[in-house]
Amino acid sequence: MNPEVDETLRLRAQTVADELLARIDGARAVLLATADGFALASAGEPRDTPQLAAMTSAIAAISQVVSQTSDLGEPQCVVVDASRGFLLVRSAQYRGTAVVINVMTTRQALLGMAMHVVNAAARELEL
Amino acid sequence: MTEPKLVFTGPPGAGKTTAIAALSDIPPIVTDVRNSDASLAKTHTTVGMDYGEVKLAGDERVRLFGTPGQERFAFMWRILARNAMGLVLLLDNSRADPRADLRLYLQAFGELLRDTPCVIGVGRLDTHPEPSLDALADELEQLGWVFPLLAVDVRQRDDVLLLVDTALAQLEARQWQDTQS
Repeated sequence: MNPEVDETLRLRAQTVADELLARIDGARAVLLATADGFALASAGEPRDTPQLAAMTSAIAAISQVVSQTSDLGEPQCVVVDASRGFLLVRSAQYRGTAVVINVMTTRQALLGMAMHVVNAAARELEL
Repeated sequence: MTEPKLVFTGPPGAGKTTAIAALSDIPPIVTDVRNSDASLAKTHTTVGMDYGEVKLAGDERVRLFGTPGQERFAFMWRILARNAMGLVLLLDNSRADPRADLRLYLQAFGELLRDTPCVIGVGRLDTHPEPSLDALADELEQLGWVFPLLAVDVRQRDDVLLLVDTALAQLEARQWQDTQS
């Protein structure tokens, strides 16, 4: 974990992680990372948090260049539809710091609802 | 017409993104974000990959892929190494231990290097002459590898082109050898 990260950011990230885990039906784990791939906070049980944090930032960054190259603008939410669940990745800003939210759910989660909750959390973080 | 894939790797700050931008004929695709790691003296860092293309003589289009430098992105190293036809390892002689960097990246890409050529470019030798190219070559030999080692300034297009040419020359030599055996 990056020791340089501001404590306020870490605390806020923990609150967001806890809230998302509680508010999304079927959520298994939530991870918040800095845009350069350091874990900020997690809730539930993500496996191997440092690896996942780096992967989360890579997904967010690659999605952004793919969206831009395809003339689709800025990506909101990236969805990985996997055999045993969904993975949602959403970039956000908190007081000028770029962060990435990663929510992992079971197959039973309602995808649209989960995306809505993640997007709302990202917007709230930016207020 | 072939379209070889070359992968640029090496420690953070060695200039992978800069090298690809210096050589690419197309605007390079970069995934830089603001760096939050105070132990790295740079404002931005690659978290996904870099991509560029360069057309060489004979209509050969070389695809240039850059990896993130930090070890926590080692999963991207493995993804980007798939089907690579050459590896360009960039070292930064101003870092604490360039020999350790050499060992780390050659080990990480060891599987690829069993049948793929590699060239090593060493940057900032002018301001940081130690370890010398000879010392790095010795280290390389101890690790059981023989690869060309060149002093480079990755901001200079010609220097990057030389690295790419050197990797491709090895590739051609191997392909020629294969036809002979």
